[in-house]
Amino acid sequence: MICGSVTAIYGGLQALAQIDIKRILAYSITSHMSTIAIILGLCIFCGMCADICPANTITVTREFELAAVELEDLKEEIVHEVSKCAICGKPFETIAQVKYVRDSQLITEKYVYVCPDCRSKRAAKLFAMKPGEIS
Amino acid sequence: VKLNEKIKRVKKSPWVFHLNSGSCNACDIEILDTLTPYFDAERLGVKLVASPRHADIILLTGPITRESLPKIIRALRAVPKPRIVVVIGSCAVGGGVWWDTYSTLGGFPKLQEILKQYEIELDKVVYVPGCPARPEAIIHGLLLPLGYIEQKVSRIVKIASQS
Repeated sequence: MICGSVTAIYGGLQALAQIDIKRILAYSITSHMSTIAIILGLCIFCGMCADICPANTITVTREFELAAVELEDLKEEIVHEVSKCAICGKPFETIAQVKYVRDSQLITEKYVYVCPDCRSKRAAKLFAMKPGEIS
Repeated sequence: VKLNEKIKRVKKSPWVFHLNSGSCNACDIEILDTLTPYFDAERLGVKLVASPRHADIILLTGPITRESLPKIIRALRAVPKPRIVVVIGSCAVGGGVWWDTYSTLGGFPKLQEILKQYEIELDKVVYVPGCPARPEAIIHGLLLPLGYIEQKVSRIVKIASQS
């Protein structure tokens, strides 16, 4: 638990460094953590993110008391844990998203926990097999 | 009792100067809206003045374009101390949609770096996001540096649960 929180903070800090470079609605994956950040100083309040959000977690409010003395106060971040590929062990997607896809789509567990690179490699191997051969 | 304490803090009427640094005029219209009888910022003593030499607060709108940069520097130098700047709109705060274009500086923090080179000190800067910022938000932003109210937003970092 403690170890987890430490890595969370570390991953968060790394992600913050990336946000400063991107300076925009940022989405970044580090080794353990992925961070989604909304920076109100760059947002134009169009509401498109709330429109396309499949989980309906982003909402647009009529809140207006957003004045801040420092730019850091206008940031809002969510840190997610990243799930690792079952074959190569590379981090590829957040655990929450993997679970969402597994529950909502017609996709087997064989495919869900494998990263896109390994999936394409496996598909290429299957195409290269001769008839009757078993992988 | 609380209201009386707040009224005691009001020492003078803040006069504002409206400084446009190449905005699309949406924020400017909202500033004019703030001064109309509907929102009535004049009940707080806010008055629009024509010269930066008379102003207590500068209302800065727009991403600072290259064309407007020398004029902005000259206007900010003319402001008497203490210099208070209220940065209005997403363009002025962080660049907004112009955050990496060639013809703008992309937000107020980069202007502040240039002002440091010219040795122009700003005593207080308040950022008001919004595209455009609503009149209520502008009034809130005007009263924040004067100490009438306290800041309501703060940085949020949430860690998602894995249930």
